[in-house]
Amino acid sequence: MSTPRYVLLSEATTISDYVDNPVFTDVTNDGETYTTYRIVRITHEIFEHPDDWTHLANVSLEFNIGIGVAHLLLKNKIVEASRIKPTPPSEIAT
Amino acid sequence: MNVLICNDRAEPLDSLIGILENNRDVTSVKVATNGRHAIDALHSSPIDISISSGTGLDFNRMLQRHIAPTVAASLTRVVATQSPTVPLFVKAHQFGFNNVLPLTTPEEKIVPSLQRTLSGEESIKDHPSVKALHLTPGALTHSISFEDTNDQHIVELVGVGLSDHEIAEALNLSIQNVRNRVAHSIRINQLTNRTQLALLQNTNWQIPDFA
Repeated sequence: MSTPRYVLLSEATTISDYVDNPVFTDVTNDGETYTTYRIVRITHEIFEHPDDWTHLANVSLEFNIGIGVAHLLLKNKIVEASRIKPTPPSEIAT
Repeated sequence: MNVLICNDRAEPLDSLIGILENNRDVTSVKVATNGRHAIDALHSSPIDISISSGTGLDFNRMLQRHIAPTVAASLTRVVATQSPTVPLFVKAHQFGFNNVLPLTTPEEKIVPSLQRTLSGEESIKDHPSVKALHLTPGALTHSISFEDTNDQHIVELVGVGLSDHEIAEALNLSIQNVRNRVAHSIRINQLTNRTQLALLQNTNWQIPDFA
């Protein structure tokens, strides 16, 4: 199995180059819980990931306070799938 | 205390009616045998407590949507049942009932229990089988609402058991769009998950008016 490669994207990259809508909803708990996030910045392009993730992004909660890092599967500028690692509130400077 | 009994043929509350009619702390006991009677009784004079049987639970939830909001807000709702099971407690809690009255309660303790429920001292929320679950009381009480017809179409398909991918295909929308809209409908209806949305959609009953 090949190791995934993460290629850092330029800070000049705009989100609209990758997705039509920066707001997407992550579904967890066997399809029960819906949480809406906003892509703040797409940081990496991913190649050869065994789970098919294509991009890594910084995200924030759309309707609450919270940030995280998202693995995204982007296809035709649509977020097809996501896996979020939320940043624990204790690690967010207040 | 003014009481309305929604008397259900499947689980009649005749003995409870007798107990309440003979109690000096109960000012009036009205008995409704169908939905129209109950709505008319609630609108014609002040009612403090409405009591339904366990089998009338779903009906009573529907009834709640057909009475004036001011009447509904001031009404304390109780389920009286011979078999106060855990599922009944949880269901009554989710439907926004204030308490469950086991009909095995000694006669002299029934009215004091209703009075404590009316004053808020006694509540279904304090029952051990409900307290531990951290549920949203009354989550399935209100009518479902939609932002627009697109959201309505999506929720209707959630209600017939389609997955988000199937909905996206059926309505020619992106999966991202469908998930965002499902999340939006969950949020504006103050629900916590997709199952609740499907349930609320499927039980969004209205009394048909054939007149």
